[in-house]
Amino acid sequence: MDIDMLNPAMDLAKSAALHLPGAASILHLIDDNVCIVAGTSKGEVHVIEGRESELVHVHVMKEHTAAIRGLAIDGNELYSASEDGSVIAWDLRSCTVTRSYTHHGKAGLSAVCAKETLLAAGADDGTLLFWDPRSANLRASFHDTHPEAVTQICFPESSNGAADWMISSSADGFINVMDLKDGLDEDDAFRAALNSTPSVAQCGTYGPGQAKLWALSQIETLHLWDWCAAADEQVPGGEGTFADDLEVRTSLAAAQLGRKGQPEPHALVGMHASEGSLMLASTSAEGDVATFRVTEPEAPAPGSSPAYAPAVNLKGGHKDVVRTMVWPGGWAQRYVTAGDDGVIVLWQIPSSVAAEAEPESNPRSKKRLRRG
Amino acid sequence: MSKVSGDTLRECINGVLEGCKTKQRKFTETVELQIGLKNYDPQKDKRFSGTVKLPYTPRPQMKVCVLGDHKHCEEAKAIGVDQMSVEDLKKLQKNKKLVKKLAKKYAAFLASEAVIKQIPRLLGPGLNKAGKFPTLVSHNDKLEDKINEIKASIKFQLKKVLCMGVAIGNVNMEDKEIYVNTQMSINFLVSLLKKNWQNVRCLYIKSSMGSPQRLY
Repeated sequence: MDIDMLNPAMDLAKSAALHLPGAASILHLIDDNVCIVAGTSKGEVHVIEGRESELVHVHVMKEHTAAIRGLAIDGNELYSASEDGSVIAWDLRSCTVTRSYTHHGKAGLSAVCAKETLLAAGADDGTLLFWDPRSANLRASFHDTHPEAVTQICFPESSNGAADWMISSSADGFINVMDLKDGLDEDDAFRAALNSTPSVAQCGTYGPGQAKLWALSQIETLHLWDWCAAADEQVPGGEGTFADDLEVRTSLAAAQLGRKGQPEPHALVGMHASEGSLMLASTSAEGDVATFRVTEPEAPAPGSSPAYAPAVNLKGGHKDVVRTMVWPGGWAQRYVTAGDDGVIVLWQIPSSVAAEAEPESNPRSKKRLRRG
Repeated sequence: MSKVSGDTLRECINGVLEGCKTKQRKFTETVELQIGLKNYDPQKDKRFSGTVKLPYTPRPQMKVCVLGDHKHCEEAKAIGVDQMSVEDLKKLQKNKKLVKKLAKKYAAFLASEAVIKQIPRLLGPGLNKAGKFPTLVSHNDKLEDKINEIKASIKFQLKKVLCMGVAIGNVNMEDKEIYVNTQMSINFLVSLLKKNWQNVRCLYIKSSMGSPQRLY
């Protein structure tokens, strides 16, 4: 279901909550059974299953010795990157360790991304590391691309298969685009960079062909960039961002004006690209989440700002700020949030709304996780 | 509301400037603001960073290089700023040593719209390593203003430890200029912190070789 189907500025009720030992800093939704994995500051990975109106703790996987900083999924394999400097691959069917990936340095890992043929992780010292996911052999490490901690890595799909893209963002404020098609050579792979000054906290691709990129900085500014044009010298555009908002929280508060009972934007939680739109979530100091639909400026140009329209609110589920959330998408028609209070909350979209959006055939699979 | 009174700040600035006069150094000393934080867990709380443009340039000697098209190169020449054209960049032939040398020579780079997309192909990731991938300058911007903006900007960045230092001036500046710069820097820093003044443990100002003066 597309988030656009939801009534604007609707408040959703919490349908289930679960306490975890230690605050979850990352959530990941795996499949249509609403299976949630949560990485905590204690280095544990929790597997949780979302039922109709309850959250069931299925398994806790303890192998890391420091906080989990990144999670990635490829098929049945879950990859967790930790400050202890390793990536561990887990088989989600059996909840057991399949492989462990290490590197020669001492730096903790802060980001991870996986696909069938390549596992990439970013370290606190800015190194990018690449392993063969099947053999756990370290294939390459890039030392020049980022001078500071890597915060996010993603592999956007190439629209025509002509490139093998990788995008990485970092605390140094750079977002780099690389094409790994001709191999893991740092000098040859480098295609484009955006020097957006503030440290990048999160980024992701959106739009037709995933050709554009959103980035949220650690001081809560928002930047939109046409990365595909930037990586192609023949195509005009992409030299810099095409829209920026340096006061996102103020803009969100302005978008809420005239509406009662809206959660005050205290911090930004993250963004999400659904089929139809780009969404942004903010949290109040008390843990109430407000979501907004983000629209690009009509005449994109350096210095122009995106517009925001309030969407659903998730109120009364948390007692402290929300750090991470997953959005409804595909068949998982629920929001899941986790915050500093150590609680994971499942938010059910009312069935009347969900039924309207549900097509006739339901390809929901019957995959279940083993209970630990 | 600032918790550093005007009098304390003035006294400390005078202390710093007098310290420099009593023992002259062979270079222009930089005035630095040092910050200690509390009630902040860099492991858990988000690390922050922010850039603020100060009214008076703390580092006028800072060297900037323009990687420009014809128009920007001409403008740079006219105002006495170093510049390189695409042809000059091609001569480096992606040689790591030469790119490293170039990165080391300048504190910051600016690139024209027509040049910035060619940088990865011409220079590889060498400028990134130094944290100096160029900032975009378009023909709508006035080159001189853009360069002054870069020179006058300072960056606060919390890393793994609870202390930070940032250059806010130099000893050749008037005390009033240092006063304005310090106040602006402190106010900006406090606005970045989650609990504002409750996160500040101490503030010091000092010159490169001088003794520290406690502000807060």
